[in-house]
Amino acid sequence: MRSAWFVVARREYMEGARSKWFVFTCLLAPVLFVALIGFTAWAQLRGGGKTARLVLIDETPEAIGNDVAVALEAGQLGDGQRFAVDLAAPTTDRGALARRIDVGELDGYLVLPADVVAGGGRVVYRGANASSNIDMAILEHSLRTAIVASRAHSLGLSPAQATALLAPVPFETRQATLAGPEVNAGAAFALAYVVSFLLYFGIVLYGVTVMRSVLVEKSSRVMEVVVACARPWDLMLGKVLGIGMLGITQIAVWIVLAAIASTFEGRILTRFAGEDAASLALPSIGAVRLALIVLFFLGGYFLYAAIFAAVGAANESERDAQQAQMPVMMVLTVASVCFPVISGAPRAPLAVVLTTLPFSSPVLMPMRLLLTPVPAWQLALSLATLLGALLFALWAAARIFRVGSLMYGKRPTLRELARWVREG
Amino acid sequence: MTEAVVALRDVTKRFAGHVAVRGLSLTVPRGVLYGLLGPNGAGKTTTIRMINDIVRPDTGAITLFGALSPGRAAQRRIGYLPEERGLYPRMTVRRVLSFLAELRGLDRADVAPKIARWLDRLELAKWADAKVETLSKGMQQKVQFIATVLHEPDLLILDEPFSGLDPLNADVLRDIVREQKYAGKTILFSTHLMEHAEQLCDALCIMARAERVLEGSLADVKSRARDSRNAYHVEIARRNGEPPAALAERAGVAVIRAPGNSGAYDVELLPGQSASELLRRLVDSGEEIVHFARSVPTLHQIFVDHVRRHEEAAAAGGSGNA
Repeated sequence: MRSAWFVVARREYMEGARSKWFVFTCLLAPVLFVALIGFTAWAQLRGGGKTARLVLIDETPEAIGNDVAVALEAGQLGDGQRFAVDLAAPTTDRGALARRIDVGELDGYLVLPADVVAGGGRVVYRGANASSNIDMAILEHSLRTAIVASRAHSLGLSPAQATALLAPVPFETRQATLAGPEVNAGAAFALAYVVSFLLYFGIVLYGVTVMRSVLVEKSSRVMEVVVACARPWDLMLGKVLGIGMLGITQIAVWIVLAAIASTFEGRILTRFAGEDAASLALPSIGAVRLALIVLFFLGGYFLYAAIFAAVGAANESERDAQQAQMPVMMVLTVASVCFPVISGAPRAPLAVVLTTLPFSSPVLMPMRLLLTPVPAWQLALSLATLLGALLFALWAAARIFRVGSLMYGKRPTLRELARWVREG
Repeated sequence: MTEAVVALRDVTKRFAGHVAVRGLSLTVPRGVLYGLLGPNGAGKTTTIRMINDIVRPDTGAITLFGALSPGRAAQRRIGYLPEERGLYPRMTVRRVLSFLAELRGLDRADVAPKIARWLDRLELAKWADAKVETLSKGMQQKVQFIATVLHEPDLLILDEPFSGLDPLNADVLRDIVREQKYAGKTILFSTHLMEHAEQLCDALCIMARAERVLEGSLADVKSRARDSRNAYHVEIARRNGEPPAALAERAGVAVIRAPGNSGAYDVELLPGQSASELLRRLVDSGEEIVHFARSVPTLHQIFVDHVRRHEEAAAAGGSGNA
């Protein structure tokens, strides 16, 4: 004979796994996600696939305009040029250029003021593509090279000396960790954000799924049969476990897909980032930290799933429940808004507090773990608080469930909810 | 005296603003078809929910199967069909039945052939793998009934089992309920339809305004009702319309009802008047009597009389439902 919670969990899992929605999010969502990121990156790099036409108004006595134009036209866009540059006299009518940009004959114009080499004035670019980060980066880089070269020349340096002077200063940040290889700080930062956001979305997604599942049982009136067969505690626990397993399955599928993709990681990064690829490679998380992250995710999921289940039991329609879940969502969202607080100062007292409170620790502690070593006592305290909170939430939710699952009509007030918990 | 399968003693349940059940005692003996009757809002469903441990009584005691309190152990031996019917709309009939049986502790392998048999019996076999939401309401109700009996419970609790069923399906259900009784099960069902109760019940309890109005076996209830009235059924041959003079004289006759033009009359005598006197007058007046009998009220009449009297008393005594 099976325990009731097991039967309930298996039903939630099997019915969930059979749904089209689940198959869709398991397989298609990551494909779409990667495709979207890939497409965005590709489109940015290609600049829409069109050579940008610029007019360069050169007011400098040194006539550096030509050098700037050569540097700009050297920039490649796939097989074609990224920029095509026309030099123009200082007297050129700016209004006419603006009108040409307006009708699409021209993408923009650049004005090099007379004293720019001497260190005064300000180069201004006006164009339809001013919002393109990559175009603007190339533009700035070309300008800087030409102007600095001109300044070097006026100081009497040879081109070789100028090159030596301009040689890049290699600077790199590495995340200090207790164990494992040091990692690039930027990559660690990116990983911490991505992981925390995934945890946040996972908790919201599956928490809301639990709430929906309760609402379906209420609105289809199947609840009364079910509560006559099993204890509310078994029903709650089974539901939360079953849907949790569904979430874990989904994440496992995603990890497998990511692992397959990561065998191509080097090639993908090289394609996008050239020789810097090695420094961008994702740091490995390590088994201990991975286990801790999973623990915090599960704890957070259980805590919020119990609360969402109680919201479902206390309400009747999806619309009522949507309103009632707002405060819960707000708490989680506040936690995710605190991401910069953690990444900015992962060891500050505020970060310690935020990663100990059970409502924010599930998303914030993993981030802190990925950024800095966390003392064992803080980890233990955080996990203990989370465990206490989730046990209380499950217990209270089961009691609300018991009373609320058969209540139809008016939504209970907070005071009534408290009474349900006391008397449940 | 047979063992009581369900025994309530002085059970009271209050909800926020009102008393749903007040001081209710009742006994359902083993192997009996027991009707819980009452107008809407009398407290039938709350009583049934307390027996199923869905709500708990504020005071009083409920004993099930002689020794158990409402709860897990008792639930396994109960098959409960709630008034609010519902199944998981997206699950197939077979899976939803299997799930509910397993939830009550049955093994999946054992339950499969039983499901097949019941679906066959209720002419639902070809819907076994259809989603519940594609079934008609009547079919869904039959599926839900299967879920109630699948684990072969000792006690069936059916809350308004016939509501929403067409006459054909209601007949099928009534046959199965009788069959369950002959198989030794105890059945407690609620209804506000007296015809069903009269056809099915062995014993009954009438509730009104959260209280018990009357309890007993159907035969007892009927004979008590018969004895409490001085009413007779008279049929006279070849007589239409106007009652015979012997009845029309109204000597000691309180009420005459002539249902149709058949020569049949329902007569109620004033207290103290004897039936022999009336019969002698009829014979003396030369009428040809073909039938003369003490009349037994229908359950419907008993119900209406008692509930009305109870409500009048409650109204006169000031509403206790504040």
